[in-house]
Amino acid sequence: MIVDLRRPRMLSVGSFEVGIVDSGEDHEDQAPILLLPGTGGSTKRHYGFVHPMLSLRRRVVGVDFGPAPSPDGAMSLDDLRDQALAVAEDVLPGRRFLICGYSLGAEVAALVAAERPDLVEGLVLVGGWLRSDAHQRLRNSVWRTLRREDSAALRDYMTFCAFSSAYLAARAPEELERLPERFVLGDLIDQHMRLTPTIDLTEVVEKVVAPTLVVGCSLDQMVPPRATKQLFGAIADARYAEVASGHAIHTERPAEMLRLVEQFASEPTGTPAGSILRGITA
Amino acid sequence: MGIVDDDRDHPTEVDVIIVGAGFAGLGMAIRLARSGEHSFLVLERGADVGGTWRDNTYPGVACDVPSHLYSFSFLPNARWSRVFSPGGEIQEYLRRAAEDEGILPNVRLNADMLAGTWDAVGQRWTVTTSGGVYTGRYLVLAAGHLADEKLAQIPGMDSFSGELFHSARWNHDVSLEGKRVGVVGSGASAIQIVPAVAHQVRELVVFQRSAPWVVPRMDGAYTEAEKRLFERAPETIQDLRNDIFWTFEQQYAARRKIEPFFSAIRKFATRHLHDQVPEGELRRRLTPDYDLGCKRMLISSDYYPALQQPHVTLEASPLAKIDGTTAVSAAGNSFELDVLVFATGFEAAEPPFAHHVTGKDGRSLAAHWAAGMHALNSTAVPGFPNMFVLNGPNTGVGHTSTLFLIETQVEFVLSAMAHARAGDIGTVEATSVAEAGYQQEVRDRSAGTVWVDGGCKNWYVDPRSGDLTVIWPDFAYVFRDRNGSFDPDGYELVRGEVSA
Repeated sequence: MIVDLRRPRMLSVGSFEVGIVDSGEDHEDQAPILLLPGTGGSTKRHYGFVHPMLSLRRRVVGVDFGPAPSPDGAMSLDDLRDQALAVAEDVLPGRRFLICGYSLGAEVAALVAAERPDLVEGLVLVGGWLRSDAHQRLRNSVWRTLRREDSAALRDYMTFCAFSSAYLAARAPEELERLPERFVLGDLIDQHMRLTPTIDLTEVVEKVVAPTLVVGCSLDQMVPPRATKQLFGAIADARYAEVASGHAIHTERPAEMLRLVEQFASEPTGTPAGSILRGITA
Repeated sequence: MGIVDDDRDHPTEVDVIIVGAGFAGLGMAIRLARSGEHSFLVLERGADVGGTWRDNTYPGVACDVPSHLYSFSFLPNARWSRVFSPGGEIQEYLRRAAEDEGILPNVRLNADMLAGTWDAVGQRWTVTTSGGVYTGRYLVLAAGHLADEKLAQIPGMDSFSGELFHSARWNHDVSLEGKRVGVVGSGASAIQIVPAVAHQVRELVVFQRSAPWVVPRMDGAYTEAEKRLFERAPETIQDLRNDIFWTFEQQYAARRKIEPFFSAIRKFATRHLHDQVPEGELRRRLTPDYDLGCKRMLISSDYYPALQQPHVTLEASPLAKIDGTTAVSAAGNSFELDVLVFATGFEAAEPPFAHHVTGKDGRSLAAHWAAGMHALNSTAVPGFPNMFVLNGPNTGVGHTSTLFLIETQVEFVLSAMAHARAGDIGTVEATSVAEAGYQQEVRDRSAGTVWVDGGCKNWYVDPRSGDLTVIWPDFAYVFRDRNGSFDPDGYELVRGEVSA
């Protein structure tokens, strides 16, 4: 039996076209999980490993954020929140769910959890941050300059930022060559990149009451663990885990990410608030 | 030490008896000693410690898991010579571990377990060996999966006038120089033996029942600079271990037949075959007809080239009969041979030691396992109080290092003993209900994996029940999260006298 229950389809939310990747069997005693990808990403790109493995044991719904219809259209965190909530309402009407966000998706997930405590049973924030700071804005501004200039260095720069030095150093030459090609450049990432430097969740996350798992990536050069840890401090019922990975945890350490998400999902309050979770020592 | 072990009326009494001195037995012993428990003995039937690495000395023997992961986490070795170190180096590592940790005085060599019996009155295990009688509160069976060679009975075997031996009992007195040699099997041992001996033999015939999936061996020697870094900054060893571990964990997705991972690894292996073997009859014979992973995926960069030497023949048919110096395949092809090497694997699913162990109702462990091995937490068996099995049911792995599971079990046993000590518990015994629940859980986990649904006949599935009994059919981390420490739920704990 090859398990592939993915049921992709589209949903119109205001002027956005949102992709839905719904898979796995629903069990009444198990909250489904909503997966939110990061900047310019998709369920497939940011949860390529976690999504099918998670859905072996539970209902999992991936949200593929759509671009704003006009290329120059501004996009707000509220727009992304609306898309996530519309998918939840469409696919999981009346259900409480867990929500897992990666990178920019973590910012959206935190906003959803803050505003809809009635819906969110647990929150997982992977590679997220509390507020965009000087380091974040500097990287963002370099990216946007390279993008505006249509620089040949843009993809290399993205590769350099996304992966840990250890991961890059260990790749075979042909694999290394393919890494920069994986980034999709288009309206979606442009709009997301305009949004990210403006994010400040300081007040928002004070309202998060759901049990939360904050996952930092210890080798992350885009969202360093320093920035992710601030969420651990800011959210009342948060616990923290760190993975030896660059920002591209979905590629560098997907099995470890799966373990954290699945373990938290099976018992969100299994560890007390303030806990720092120990990883596996191989 | 002045210990006299051969007085049957006065057996040597200890807290813990460990049977087997391979990775599992020595790991258990070292962790016991480090935890301050010194009343234990390791009973070993062989003449040295090391288990499978003592037994397997065939040409080319090496581990197919990187050495930095295939070693104890609590005894890192900065000096591994290569990514995949040779078997002799692993044996040396184990021997040194036993020495350095002061375990050797607790090891009884040449002590083959003839009977292990639970004494319900004395609440102790009595183990009678070829070298003496011992009793212990706890019995830890650490005999392993790769201990007893499987020597298929081939018609006419006794008539073979040449030299015949199993790969795990390599006869080093026999020179292969200029000989006609047959290798029976094409599994993990055979694909190391074939390239290692091909250059010295006159003719080489490999009897292949089914073609293995093979991926390149990304081997390499560590430089002195790297070894010194491991020594000076030992945390770099742990970082490397973690990195290898989590990279290997991803391979489980392919064993669970999840796309695109399942197709990707098959493509990778197919490309290796196509890169090394030109289109034609040999490539056709080497193309597996089952899902990758159903049998152990092998790693080799010199097996395919070895098969293409003019004096080497791949007979894509099992050895069917022997007549004097003639070996005949099931396909009917005859080969004149001087030496026959049986690289036919081990009795993993039906371990012979189970016949020698008797539980509280007088039933043997083999009888209890008549429809296949099973144990709560893969470790404890109902009817066999205070007994733990290491590297027994559902503890093998196809995608990572089995030592990760063995170490998990060792910590489980230590925590069970600590729990008993803290609560004045005399006996710890798995309940049948909990054990059955665990067995069902394992069945559920194996559904849809290549081991049960991969279109091959492998040694991981018990032919009597069709259950997957050798392999742990999930991520290795799930094994640790599930079985990492003792949970009294599912166990019957009886208060009793606890010896000091």
